[in-house]
Amino acid sequence: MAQNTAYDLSLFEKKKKEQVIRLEPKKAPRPKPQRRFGAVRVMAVAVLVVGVLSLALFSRAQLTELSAAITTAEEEYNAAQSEAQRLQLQMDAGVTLKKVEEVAAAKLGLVKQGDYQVNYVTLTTGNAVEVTEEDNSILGQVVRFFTGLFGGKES
Amino acid sequence: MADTRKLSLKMKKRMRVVGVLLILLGFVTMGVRLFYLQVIDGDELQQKAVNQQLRDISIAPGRGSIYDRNGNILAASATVWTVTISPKDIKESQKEEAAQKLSELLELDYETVLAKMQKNNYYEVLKRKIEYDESEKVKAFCQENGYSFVSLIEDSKRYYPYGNFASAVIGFTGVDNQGLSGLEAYYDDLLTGTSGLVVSAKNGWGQDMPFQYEKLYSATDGYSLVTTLDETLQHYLEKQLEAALTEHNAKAVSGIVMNPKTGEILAMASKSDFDPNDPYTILDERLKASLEGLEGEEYTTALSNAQQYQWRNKIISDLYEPGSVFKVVTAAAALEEKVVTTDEQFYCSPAGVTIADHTFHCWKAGGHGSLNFFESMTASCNPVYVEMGQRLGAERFYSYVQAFGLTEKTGIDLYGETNSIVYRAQQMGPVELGSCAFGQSNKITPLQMLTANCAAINGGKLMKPHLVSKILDSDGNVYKTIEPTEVRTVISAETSQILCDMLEADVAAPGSNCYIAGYRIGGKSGTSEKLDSDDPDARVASFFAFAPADDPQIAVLIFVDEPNSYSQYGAVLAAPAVRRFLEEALPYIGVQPVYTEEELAKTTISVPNLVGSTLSQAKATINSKGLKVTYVGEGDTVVKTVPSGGNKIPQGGTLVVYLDDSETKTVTMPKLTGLTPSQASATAGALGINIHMTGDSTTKTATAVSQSIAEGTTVSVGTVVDVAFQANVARE
Repeated sequence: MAQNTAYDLSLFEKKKKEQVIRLEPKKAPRPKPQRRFGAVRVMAVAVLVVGVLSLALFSRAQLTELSAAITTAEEEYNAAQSEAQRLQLQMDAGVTLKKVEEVAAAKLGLVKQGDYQVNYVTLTTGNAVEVTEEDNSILGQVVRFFTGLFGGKES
Repeated sequence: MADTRKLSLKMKKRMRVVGVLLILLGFVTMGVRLFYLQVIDGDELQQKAVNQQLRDISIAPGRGSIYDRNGNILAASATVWTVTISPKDIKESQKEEAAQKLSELLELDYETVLAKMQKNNYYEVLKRKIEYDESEKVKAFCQENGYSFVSLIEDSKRYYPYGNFASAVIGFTGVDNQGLSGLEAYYDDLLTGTSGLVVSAKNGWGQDMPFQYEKLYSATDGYSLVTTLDETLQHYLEKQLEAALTEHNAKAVSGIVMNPKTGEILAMASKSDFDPNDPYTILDERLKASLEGLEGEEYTTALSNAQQYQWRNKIISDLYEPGSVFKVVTAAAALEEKVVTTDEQFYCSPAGVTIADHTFHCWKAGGHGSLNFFESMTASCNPVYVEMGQRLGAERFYSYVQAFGLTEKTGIDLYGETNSIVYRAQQMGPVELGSCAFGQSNKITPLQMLTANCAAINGGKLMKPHLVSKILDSDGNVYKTIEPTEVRTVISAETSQILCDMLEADVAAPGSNCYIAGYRIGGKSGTSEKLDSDDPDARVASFFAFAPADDPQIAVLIFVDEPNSYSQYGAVLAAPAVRRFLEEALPYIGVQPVYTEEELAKTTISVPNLVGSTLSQAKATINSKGLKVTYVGEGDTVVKTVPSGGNKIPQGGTLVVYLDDSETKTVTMPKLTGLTPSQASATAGALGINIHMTGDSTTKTATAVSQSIAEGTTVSVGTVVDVAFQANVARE
């Protein structure tokens, strides 16, 4: 077949992609560092974890014990307080006025205060009025006259 | 091949759809179920979870205390324990031995304890309310013997340190610490407080997990009451009531003391009474005697009646006809309405006064003759008050009965107050009016009578009586204060003053038996028939008094129910009890005696110490004291005196002075009881005995009721003997 130069059919042919080979440096994986004392560390962490857990449990146990002790102590305190109140009431019952009077009269021979043991003192001696003597001299009469004119009082 | 692929694609699609549908179905089912569990059954399941996972323990609140006005404890609670056992946890082989030991320890009946141990349950009460010492013994005993089936449950017990003291007022509590009577019942809500709760999580073994969950709802302790009672005045009152009950062999004796200006009740008691620490035991000997010989149901009924009688507060629950004490109300009404003046003259005839077809006689057989209205109170003249009733008329009289609060309850803070039975205006004809006017026919409570009379003498104001002045919280802070309440003004201050004067004259007159030297006291006696009693001779003898008459601070009413004594009259039986109460109470409340010259002359003085003095010195001292003297022996130095120095001798008495070692002259004490003052004075004087007269020695017809040294005793010449006199004049 003669080439058709009018139409360049090659343009319509799938062009093969040129394979371009590129060389890229490939990073080699880092070698894993060798771990020293790996087992020891695992042990240490394990011990730490166990230790923390144990401490937590221990503290929880302590707390429970202390709470129980506080509760017991509070109960004992309340009981003691109540017992103190009861004993106080018992003591009050033994020193009522009735019992005091009975013991005072029957056992101690005491009697109530009599009026003969009280000295009555009269303080008031009666009302008294002091009247100044009038000045009957001439000067006194003149003073009284002028004082009376002006409605004043004699000093 | 293409078909196969198509088929598998189709299958895959269908499978996907079915898969989705199945998943959806699953979710929907779960959703519905969740909805059902959380919404429909949610509450019920939540409650079940709470019940299973949480435990609540109730915290009992402390019951409030009751104090008197000065802070003395009248009632308080303390912790006690109840001993319980779990019979199912007791081994069969252990029961008899355990029952034996526990019954010995707890002082219980062995058979009863054994019977309880043989029951098929987990809870039986062995003994309630044991105290701390006993509970410690039980604990130690159980630990020693390994008795794990015994438990001690905390409880509370009420203590009343004064015993049978104001018992009808304070009341008592039951087994569950609930108030059953008195203030304990009335203020039970305030005294009880509110229970608390501790809610905590519990594990599968039923043990608490407080750190998982715990919520505390604190208990609120009950409020405490500060009453208006005064422990000292209460003691003085109860002492006189007990003495009167014994002396007059009465059915009951009751008394009440009030501050007339505020309505505060300072003391209130009824004898026979009970011990609130043991309220079910009968204390009164008469009541106990009435139960002897009874058995079975008869005994149970009689015991119940006796208990109710001793628990009842007769001052607010029992009605009585007040008698002449009521004349204060009639007089107040008559004076206020100006239907009478104090100097208006009346004539009390032996024939009495006739109203309609009924004749009212005076209590005094021969009548009083001429007297004015002021004197009629002292004379307690019935015809005068019958006349006052007629002058007032039924309407006005009844309006004053109402105004003085005698037709309604006083409203005191106690349960069991009874209302009065009073003739209304439309029910009163002239005869009923006459009878009511002098204190018969109407029935009122003693509290109503005292409250009304206090209104008459305090300036005319009716005050509401009350027993509690303050309510305190558990920390002692004042939660509430109860102020005095004036109900209404009944009469004017002027009328009130006139009444005070009239009542003071009543006490000052001979025969009142309430006169106390140095004090201005007003009062009125009353004696009334018990018209609804089977016994026609049954009476109530009462006396009302107040002091000081010019500024009343204390008012008292004592009444003796059905006395069996040498008299039935209030002035003879109740007045001396009132006098003895006031003799102690007035100095206690700060009212000191102010003696007139005449009164001073009758007091005793202290004998000067003359031992070792020369004769001339002794004479001078004796003269300065105003004493008479008898010298015995020869000498110039006083060796001894009778009475000896420091002891008492009546003013103007005779001192026997010994000037050497001569033998002391002695005489035999004569019988002085039953003699009048002049007879006793002459009898004692003739023997050289000094007589000190107490009581109503001014009344010529008074008689000696007691002497401090018994008849027949050998005494030294010059010895002082105290002789108490009492007027037995029947003043009603």
